[in-house]
Amino acid sequence: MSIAIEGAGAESQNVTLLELLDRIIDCGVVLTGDLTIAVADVDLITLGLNIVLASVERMGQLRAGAGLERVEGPA
Amino acid sequence: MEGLCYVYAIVHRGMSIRAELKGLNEAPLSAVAWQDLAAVVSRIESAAILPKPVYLLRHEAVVETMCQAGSALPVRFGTVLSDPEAVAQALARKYQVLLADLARVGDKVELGLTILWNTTAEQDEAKAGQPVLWPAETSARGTPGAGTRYLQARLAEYRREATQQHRARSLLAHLEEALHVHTLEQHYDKLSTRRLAVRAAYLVHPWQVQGFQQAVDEIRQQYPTLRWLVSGPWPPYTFVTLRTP
Repeated sequence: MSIAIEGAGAESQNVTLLELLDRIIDCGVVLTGDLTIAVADVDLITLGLNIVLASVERMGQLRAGAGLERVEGPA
Repeated sequence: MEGLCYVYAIVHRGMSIRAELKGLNEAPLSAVAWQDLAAVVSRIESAAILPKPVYLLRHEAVVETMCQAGSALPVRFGTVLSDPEAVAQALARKYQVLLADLARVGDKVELGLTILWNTTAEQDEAKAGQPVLWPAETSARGTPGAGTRYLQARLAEYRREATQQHRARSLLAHLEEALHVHTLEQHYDKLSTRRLAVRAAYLVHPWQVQGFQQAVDEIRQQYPTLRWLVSGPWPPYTFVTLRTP
């Protein structure tokens, strides 16, 4: 892959990773119902594969706040 | 081979995998076939994948190498199944869609285009063109009251958003007109964040890449205050059908 940025310098490497991250985490063929991605030993879950990155604990709090039942992620 | 199966790409059955190409954690790659399709996989110990740069880049390297060797569909990062049988079952369940996608986009590439507002130039424009909204309510000390200030700020924000909507629509129309001859399919997001004017992905033949880039260069000359980012060629991540369960 290559990146062309108007007026870019050292930022292009970071931009490459962001562009890559955006594509390969949010796009591509979906073969399974759920993915588990972890950051810093905290499991991250996806909702409907629309990739909502959040910790399992935080998502539990959000669900409780929204009055939703807890759905176990593939932690 | 033991452990879970990490899946990188879907290819035609029988497509060779270069021996020197390795998967995550340097694991060897193999193919799991179902009828005319095969999934390129490697073994992995855990289903929880860290999105570390080394893993992201290795996933991408495997997908890109398979795309360069022939038709391939990129699989989403972090796709792990329990064993080769589960992989074959997944291929079987989605066989017709995968086969059709492989024919439609497997030998194409994706180009990304991100256009950002230049916030400094935009703020200068806004200040220069900002009208006096209405005679300000003044307090006893001659300064606008809190209510007036609040409503003026709301109105200024509303006008800024309306202006951006108009500019984004105009820009998008220009892009569509100028780029459609260089592309097969397009996917657009408009104004998804405050700084983002347009985010687009284009499906193109590999031989169209240069013409696309030249066309973008010509358009960007007409919008000197915007920041442009062209990326790719990527595997056709955005144009696969099975993007949701």
